[in-house]
Amino acid sequence: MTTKKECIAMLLAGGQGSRLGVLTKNVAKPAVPFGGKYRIIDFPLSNCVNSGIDTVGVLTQYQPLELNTYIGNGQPWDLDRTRGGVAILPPYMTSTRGDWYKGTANAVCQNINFVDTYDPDYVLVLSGDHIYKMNYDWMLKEHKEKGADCTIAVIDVPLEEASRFGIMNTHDDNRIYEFEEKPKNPKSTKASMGVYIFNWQVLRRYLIEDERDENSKNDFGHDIIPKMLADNLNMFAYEYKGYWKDVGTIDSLWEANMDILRKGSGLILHDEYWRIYARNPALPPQYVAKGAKVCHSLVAEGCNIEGEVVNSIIFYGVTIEKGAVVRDSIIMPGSIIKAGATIDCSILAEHVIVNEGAVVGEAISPDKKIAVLGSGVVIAPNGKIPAGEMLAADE
Amino acid sequence: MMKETLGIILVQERFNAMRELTMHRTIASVPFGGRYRLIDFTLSSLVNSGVREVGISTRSNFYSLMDHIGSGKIWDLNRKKGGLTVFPQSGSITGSLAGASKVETLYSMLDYIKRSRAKYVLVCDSNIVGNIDYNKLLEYHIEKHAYLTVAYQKDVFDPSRFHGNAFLETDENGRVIDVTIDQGIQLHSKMALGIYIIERELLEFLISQCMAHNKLDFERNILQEMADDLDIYGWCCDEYVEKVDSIETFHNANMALLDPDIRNDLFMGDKIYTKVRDEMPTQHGENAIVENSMIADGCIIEGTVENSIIFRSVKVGKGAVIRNSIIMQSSEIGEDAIVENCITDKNVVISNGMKIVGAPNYPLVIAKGSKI
Repeated sequence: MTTKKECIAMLLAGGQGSRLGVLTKNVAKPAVPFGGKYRIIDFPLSNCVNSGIDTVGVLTQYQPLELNTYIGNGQPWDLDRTRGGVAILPPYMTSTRGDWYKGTANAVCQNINFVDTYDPDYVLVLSGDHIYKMNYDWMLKEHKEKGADCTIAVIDVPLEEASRFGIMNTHDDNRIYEFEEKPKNPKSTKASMGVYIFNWQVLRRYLIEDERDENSKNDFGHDIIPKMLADNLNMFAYEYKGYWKDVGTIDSLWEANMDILRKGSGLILHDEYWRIYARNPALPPQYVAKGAKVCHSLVAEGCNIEGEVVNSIIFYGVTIEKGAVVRDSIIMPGSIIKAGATIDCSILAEHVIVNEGAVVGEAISPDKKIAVLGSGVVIAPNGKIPAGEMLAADE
Repeated sequence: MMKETLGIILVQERFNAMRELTMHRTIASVPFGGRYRLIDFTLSSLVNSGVREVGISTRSNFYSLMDHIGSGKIWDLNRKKGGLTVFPQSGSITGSLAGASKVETLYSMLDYIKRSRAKYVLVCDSNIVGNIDYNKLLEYHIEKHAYLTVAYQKDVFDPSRFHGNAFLETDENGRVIDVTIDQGIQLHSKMALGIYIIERELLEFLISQCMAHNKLDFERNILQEMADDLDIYGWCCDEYVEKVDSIETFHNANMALLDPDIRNDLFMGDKIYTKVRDEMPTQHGENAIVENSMIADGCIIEGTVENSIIFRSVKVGKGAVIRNSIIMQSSEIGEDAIVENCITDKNVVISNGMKIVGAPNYPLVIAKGSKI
């Protein structure tokens, strides 16, 4: 039986996501909950399986316990396969070395043997911190048609924001001639999405070479791509049109969640043909009590709502008691908002308890500052947490 | 202890009182409680109690049941040893036109039962809503040195339950001393739930004996006739339990879920598992009003929902009002439509502005896929 695959994916999920503060204190960024029932990593994993890619290596490093448990055998994403499927790839020891993943390229480099098992023609490199729905197969098709060595997915961003991204400067036929990381004076608005397709044999050579270079940071954006450009390889940009958001900061995580509610945002999860899969909590349907008010909100299963919920994302298993008010907020699984408490413009991580009469955050305003309560935080009765505060549970 | 028990679920036929709901499906696969099918409760209870080996016998219209349970993975029953085995039956051994009885069905499964190494067999129907710890039943059975133990619900006085059900009287020790079936008047109030536990070897013997002597009705020929000679005990199921066998009991059992105590009993202990559909969480629109209702995932609610059970992927249009109703999966209620005291089966479409109103004591059932 041959294990040959045309294309396999390597998903970089080792990042700490330090800008998410208390939300990534105990979990890696890709495991951060999103959109009422998902975690960030559900998006690239579901994209893979919906694009017909059935072999995914997930490179984990930072706080991997929860992420590893979550992915398990890959069954929720239909990635529990006899041939291929999902494999979790943490750093490991060999007889001659044992290193942490030094950078994104090094992470793939340490797993060359894994990739070689499938003898793929192409390798798709993904990161685990973006919210988007994308058919990688269309990108692969273009990669093959153009005879490229490397194709980089790009999204058009507003010129004034372009200096926050890695920008691809291209010719008319989308051939990349220059890559600039966070340019002060951007020449183009094509921002890299952190989605790459490489011809495996080409990438393999560059990874090994890069490993020998002691000055290298062993990073795709910083080292591999510039090196390939310098060597005049066939590199093309693939223009993606659709919703894409880097949820690396508290503000962008909040915005992306709210985009689910906002008509016209482009983030549509109600899509029979492009389901986003997630591990299922097996809870009963939500119950909304008499006297409760729920509007312009997303509410997941297992919730018990007796209070008021406006413009918010309520994850599964959340209880909102009588007289409690939740506005413009994100409440992650298992949290309890007790009677008479008020939550405004906040993100509450898993299993937070806000006791009676407490006030968290302040009403939404243009220069909104989001209050963030880490996993397991307990707010005392009538306690007050000001806007923009970030709180972690006591050890 | 239940690890040594083989679970057998007998999916019964002929539930005329379920009207349109069992026209195209077995009673076991009737949707229930927003996201479940009836059999989920029995299967989950068995597995949560520790049973690792379950056989399900089913006869006609079993496509939806097979589709629902699949390999049994959701209940962790896709095992190399034991796990789930489905027995789609055809015809009755004795050629009875009414279909096979429980005894005949168990007889047809004798090879499977014999091959099991289980010490006990738990035989149960597929239409019991409850989160039952069967360990308590088995402990009781062992403590009483019973030949056969039957589970019952106490204090059932509803005359509509008399028909088609067995009622028991027990002595102070719990031993069954009288059994009535189709009682026309209130004789006993302990309603048998169709849940039995017995040692495997005794069951093999009993079923072979009955088959050989053409005693094919489990309730009449075993439970009733043998109550004097055998040590048959009744076990009272104290947890919330409801046998669904008519539209009325179906409606009541669904509406009971709006009671927080009953929800606690059913869902807050061990989990009830069901097939996953990967819906997104439910969206409540700008003008949504939802009160005292249970709503499953994947719905888009723009209108008003009161005292109702809404299944997965239901759309409720602007200005629509749903009251005291059960709306099954993927139904669409158009703008300004009014739906009261209704049970709409899957994929029903109610057009804009339509008004469909049933009576509180006789809910209107709208068949699967109807467009109104």
